[in-house]
Amino acid sequence: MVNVISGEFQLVDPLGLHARPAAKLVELVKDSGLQVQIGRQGEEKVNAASALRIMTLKLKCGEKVTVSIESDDLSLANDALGRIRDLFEGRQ
Amino acid sequence: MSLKPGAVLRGVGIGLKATTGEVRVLPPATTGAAKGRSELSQREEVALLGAATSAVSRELTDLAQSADAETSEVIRALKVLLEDDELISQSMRFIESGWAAATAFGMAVESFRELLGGSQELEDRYRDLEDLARRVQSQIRGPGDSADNNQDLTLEADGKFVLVARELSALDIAQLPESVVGVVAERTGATSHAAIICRAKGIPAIFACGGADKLEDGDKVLVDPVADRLVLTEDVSLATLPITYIATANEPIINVMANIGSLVDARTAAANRANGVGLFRTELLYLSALKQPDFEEQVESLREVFEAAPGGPIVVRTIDVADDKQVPFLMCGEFEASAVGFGEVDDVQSAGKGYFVLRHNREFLRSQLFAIERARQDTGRDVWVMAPQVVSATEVSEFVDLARSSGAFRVGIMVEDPSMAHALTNVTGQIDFLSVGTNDLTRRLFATQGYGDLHPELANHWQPELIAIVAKIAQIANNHRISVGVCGESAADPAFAIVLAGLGIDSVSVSPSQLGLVRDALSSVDRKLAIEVAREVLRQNSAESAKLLVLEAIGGQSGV
Repeated sequence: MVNVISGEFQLVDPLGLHARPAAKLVELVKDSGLQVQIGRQGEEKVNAASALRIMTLKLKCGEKVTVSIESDDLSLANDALGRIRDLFEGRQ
Repeated sequence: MSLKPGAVLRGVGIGLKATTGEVRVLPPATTGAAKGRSELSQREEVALLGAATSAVSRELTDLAQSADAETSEVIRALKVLLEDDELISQSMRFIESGWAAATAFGMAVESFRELLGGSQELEDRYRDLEDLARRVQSQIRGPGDSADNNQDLTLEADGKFVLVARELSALDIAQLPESVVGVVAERTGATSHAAIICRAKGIPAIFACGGADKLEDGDKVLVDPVADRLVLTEDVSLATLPITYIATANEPIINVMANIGSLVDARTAAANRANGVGLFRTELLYLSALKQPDFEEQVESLREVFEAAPGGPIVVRTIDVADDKQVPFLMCGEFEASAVGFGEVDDVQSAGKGYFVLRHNREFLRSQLFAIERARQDTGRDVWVMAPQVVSATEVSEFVDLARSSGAFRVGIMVEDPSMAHALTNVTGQIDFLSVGTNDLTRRLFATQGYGDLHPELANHWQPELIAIVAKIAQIANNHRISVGVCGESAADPAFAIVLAGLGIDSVSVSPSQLGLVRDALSSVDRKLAIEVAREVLRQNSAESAKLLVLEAIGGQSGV
């Protein structure tokens, strides 16, 4: 069964989600092999495997972002979500 | 039109070391050959593009391997952009509609131009992307291609050149020959990847340098990053020297405290001999909390920080909310801009909503004050509590009443708005201390909304108007025997910290990483010199003359 899990995170990088963290997110997403979408809550999401798309969101420090992952493997998806949280909240 | 000897161009300096050299102007990158329709099969075009991106990707890998850590992190990010899924699929779509590979890739990059517009930072990133596109295109078109990058510039290997360009990409800088000793960019900003790499490689540079287009090949220039300027001269003695502050006393002339936001910061501050905490930003404990933490949770997180904090007072700022740091559980959406006296909603947001929000979340403010009091009692620390972003005497009274009825800590306010400087004499009887937030104060003094605005040069703590208002605040505080500190960015500028001490400021508070430098600076001069310097600074009419005056006075003293 395909599940969609999602999480909401706050960006703590003073520069927002700029090129280098976007690139790290993409590496993480690609490693996971999962379909991950990212965007502001209630707005259209973009493909989190594309750093350019992520950068076009122009997310700033302190903003909240929603990440959703579609997968039939819930534990894999939860694991990826946890790593994304660490990346956004500066624990990596 | 060439520039006269002695002419000065202003920008943002990168690095501390000045250098002289001969100008070499990098011609603007050609935007590539004319668009080409495909003469091959789609499959062949796709293969061409694949081979070219792989080749550029390998170049980047090689470059990253031989670079310092910071440069290689930037290059790895560029590699991810080059191999971006959406960029590739966009290119495929153009190839499918009959364009040649090089053209298709260029068009795909271009499709991101508008999406990445709107700020200097993103435009600088787009520049990096265009640079990648040129590299891919020249791979496809083969050697001898006129649109190749950088090859229009031939530099003798043994010269000393200052490279001047309208725009520079990260890779331009990463691949500079040894003979380039300085860099000037007219349109590229100080937060660009190019600037980051200049800093990492120790190449002095002036970015966002207005008038750089008037420089010509062969001009002899001095790159003077400490003074944020380029001078048309070969005289290196005109360079503004960074000062090495050599502490001659055991203790600084005023207390150097730490700005902290977390337990980790508190420990770092203690390890770096801070004289207490001058600003504890409590909101950082709550940024990711979706609901209001309960009382015990608040006490526990405060207690941990109080215990780890360096000896001396701990100045706690009640939760501060602004555009760039929103606390999820606080209600802050429902207010009218006019109610806080600013013109536009945007102004309010960038100005910080601070105390205004707390008034509307009074229950939370009350619970935070109780939690601070409990943690103070549990740890026995000397705790001071202040409100952020107050703008009127009424707000001050309101906060002071609430705070005094909540705990036995000392009570003060932050002065971050010019209005508060004017209202100060009316509130001195109620408060124990003041803390000046120079970042917001500078911005609001000139009603500019921050860097990159119309007058970015005004957002400078050396502006005489800001120094005058800080002098006034210090004088009122001194007259009423109220302790007064500065916790803005300006305090982390060691030369400026000396001026603050001379103006009558009792303590400065800086981020833990800046403690050593500021401490050394404030231990390298005596109070008398600081007062003399501050008096002279108040007579200056420009930020530039104020800064140069101080650097000279202190440099002379500590024997640079």
